[in-house]
Amino acid sequence: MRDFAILCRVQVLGLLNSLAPGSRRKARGGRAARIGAAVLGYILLAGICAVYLFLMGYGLASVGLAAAIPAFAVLAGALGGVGFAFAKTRGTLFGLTDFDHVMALPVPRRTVVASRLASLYLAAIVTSALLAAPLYVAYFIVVGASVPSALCAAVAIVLAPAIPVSIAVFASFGLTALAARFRHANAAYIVLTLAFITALVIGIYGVSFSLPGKGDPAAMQIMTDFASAASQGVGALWPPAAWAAAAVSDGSLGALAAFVAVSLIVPALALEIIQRNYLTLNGLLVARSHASEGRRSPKEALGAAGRAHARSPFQTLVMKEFSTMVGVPAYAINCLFGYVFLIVIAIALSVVGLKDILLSGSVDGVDLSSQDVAAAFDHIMILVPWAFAFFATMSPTAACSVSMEGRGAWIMATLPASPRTILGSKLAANAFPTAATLILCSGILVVSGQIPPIAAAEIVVLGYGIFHLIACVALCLDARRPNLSWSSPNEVVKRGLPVMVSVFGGMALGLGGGVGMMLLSTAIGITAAHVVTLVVGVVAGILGQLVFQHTCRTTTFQL
Amino acid sequence: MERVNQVPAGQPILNVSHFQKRYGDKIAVRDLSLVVEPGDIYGFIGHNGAGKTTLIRSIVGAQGIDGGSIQVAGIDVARDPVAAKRIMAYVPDNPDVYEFMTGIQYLRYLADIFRVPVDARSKRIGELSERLQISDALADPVGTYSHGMRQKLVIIGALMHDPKLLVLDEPFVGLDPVAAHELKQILHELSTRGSAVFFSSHVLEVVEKLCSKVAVIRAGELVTSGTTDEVRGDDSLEDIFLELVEPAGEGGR
Repeated sequence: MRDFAILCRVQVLGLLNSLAPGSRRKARGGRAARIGAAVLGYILLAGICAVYLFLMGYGLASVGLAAAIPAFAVLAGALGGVGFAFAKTRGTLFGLTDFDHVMALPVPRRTVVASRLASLYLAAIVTSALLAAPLYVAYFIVVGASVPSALCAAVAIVLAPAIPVSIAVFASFGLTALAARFRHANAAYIVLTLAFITALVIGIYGVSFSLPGKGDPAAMQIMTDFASAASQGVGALWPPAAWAAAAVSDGSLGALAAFVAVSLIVPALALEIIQRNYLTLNGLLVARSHASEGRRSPKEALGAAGRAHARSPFQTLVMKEFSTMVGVPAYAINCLFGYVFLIVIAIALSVVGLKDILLSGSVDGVDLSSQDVAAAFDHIMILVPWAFAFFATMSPTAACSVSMEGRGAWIMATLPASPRTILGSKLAANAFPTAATLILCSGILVVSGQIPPIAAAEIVVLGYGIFHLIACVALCLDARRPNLSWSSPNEVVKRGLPVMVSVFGGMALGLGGGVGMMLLSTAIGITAAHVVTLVVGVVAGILGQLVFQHTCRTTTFQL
Repeated sequence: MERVNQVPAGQPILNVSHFQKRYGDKIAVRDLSLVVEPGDIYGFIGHNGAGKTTLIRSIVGAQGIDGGSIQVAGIDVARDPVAAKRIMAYVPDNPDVYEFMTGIQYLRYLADIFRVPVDARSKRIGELSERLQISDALADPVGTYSHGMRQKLVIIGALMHDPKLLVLDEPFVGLDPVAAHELKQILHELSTRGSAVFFSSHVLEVVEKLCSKVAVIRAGELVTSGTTDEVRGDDSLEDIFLELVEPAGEGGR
């Protein structure tokens, strides 16, 4: 037990260090403040997520769909844990950078594996709590809570991810082993994961926007039948969810006992299987395959080195950035999702129609008067470019691009290329796709007749302008204080300050600016609001460029 | 190999003048001066934490300077780092390379940055990879390489553009005997062509046999420098090193 606690403590210290990495150049005194700031940032993000889920749960309960919430809460807790475990298994349990060191310690292998699995389960439990607790709170507010049902809900939150995480661990291992042998496995992994996340988000927003108003009995009945069928389907596909739901809603001790037993036995089995085969499993990941499908032979590779035309240093640096995105799945998945989301929104709006949604009479279960909406439609449309501007900042590859050099940063530091060329390539690798995506989205919407040409121009000008400002600020932060000693890319692509600045900055400027402009339009008129929107986009772009120039002048890449 | 980079005659390849570097309140290297001429293979030795890597990082432009100057073929590294980096190459002690690239992708990446002509790069990569026995692995991702293989790859990448100054930090760590022998040959060939080599190492036997000049650093200060024969005198380099880096007040061996 003592060894287990020591190993777990190392995991926690590693996590804390990743929030505020130290380096020779950074003052030690600021470390606690950096950790505190990072924790506050996470609490803020968690709070926003919790509020959204509570509102969704409350919306479901208030339209009579409370019975479906417990099963969905278990599902939400489980899926959140699955996603986390799937992404973190590689590097936490398999493919460790300190594998040799850890395995050479006088600690039983079972204890080593248990400590690594414990960190995954603990993180999954936190995720489960974040996703499921707000739904349960909404449920209990409407249905009423008793001590037994609340305890059952707490147990369900803790144990919901247990089985899925165990499965996710094996799935992640399988995919990692596959990636070690097939050239395009990384790209396939990225595409599949982005598709999964997109489907999940579409599902969540689809439910949000399709909740009928109380004044539509027919739609209400359809929704009730659907939710009931979905709830039963979840239970049929994954019985533990049904058992947990029965424990929470009916107080069934038998269902609770079955849920707890299975949720403890499966992870115990997973631990036993993994620890017995741990050396073999890690060995499979290390072994290289010389005859891999699609891989060039050495002679072909050498020949290609001469036949390929030479690129300019800037071109080759940009291509290197793109290679980094594809070569590091965590980087791609966390930073490319914004592009996918932009296109999906544009397609969804072009098919469903924003006007149709607003004039349907109900959004998120809130009744809307079609007359009120029609009158305010032009003002509401002012929001659209700002929403796109917000989403344009959701793919912040430049924000962590200096940190992503990692231990290979000496290459960047010793290249015969100026900081302007190097930083410019990192910005360009983010800017080109963002601009192209915004142009594509505005084209989709204008061709489908959903927006006028002026709004299309605003999407591009404002969207790119705000992206450019946010990206340049974030890049400046990353260039000034890069985290080059990360052991997992998640430390910089998820928990890094520049990325958080990008996310929150985009939120503030995009959504906050949009609401502000919508309200302003009621005072200055629609035409003036369009003009101001365009001007803001241009000014934001100019400000961003000034920040970039300053960064180039003042940055020296130091190890 | 044909010459790519020319240096004015009579110009030292590396001129370190009163170099100083501090980390916070701690002075890591103090008032260090040395000169490396064309054709030199210059060994730089010292105990752990003496300041070897600190100087090397400042020479290659990966770290700033807090005092003095460093010039590579007359180009001030602090004032014109890009021009200085263009004519030198660096092999670090930890050969961490982008793991998602294959070996050949990494070499092409460097060849593009250093503007190595297309017709020349294939020939050089082929020759060097055969000599260092890594040609079979060039098509594989660097993430699958051992430490020694990465070291070889980084060495090839450093030599592709025929640098005037090759700076290496512990280059023989992780190399198998055949590769170590080939590397010594390559360094000799580089110096014969008028380039210079500056490297740190703890393997004093190699330094003694390979280097024409040696400098010894202790606690951030240069304690001696000169030709290898001058520095070691009638003793071995190991004996001189142990004597020179022993803390003051302690008895000798």
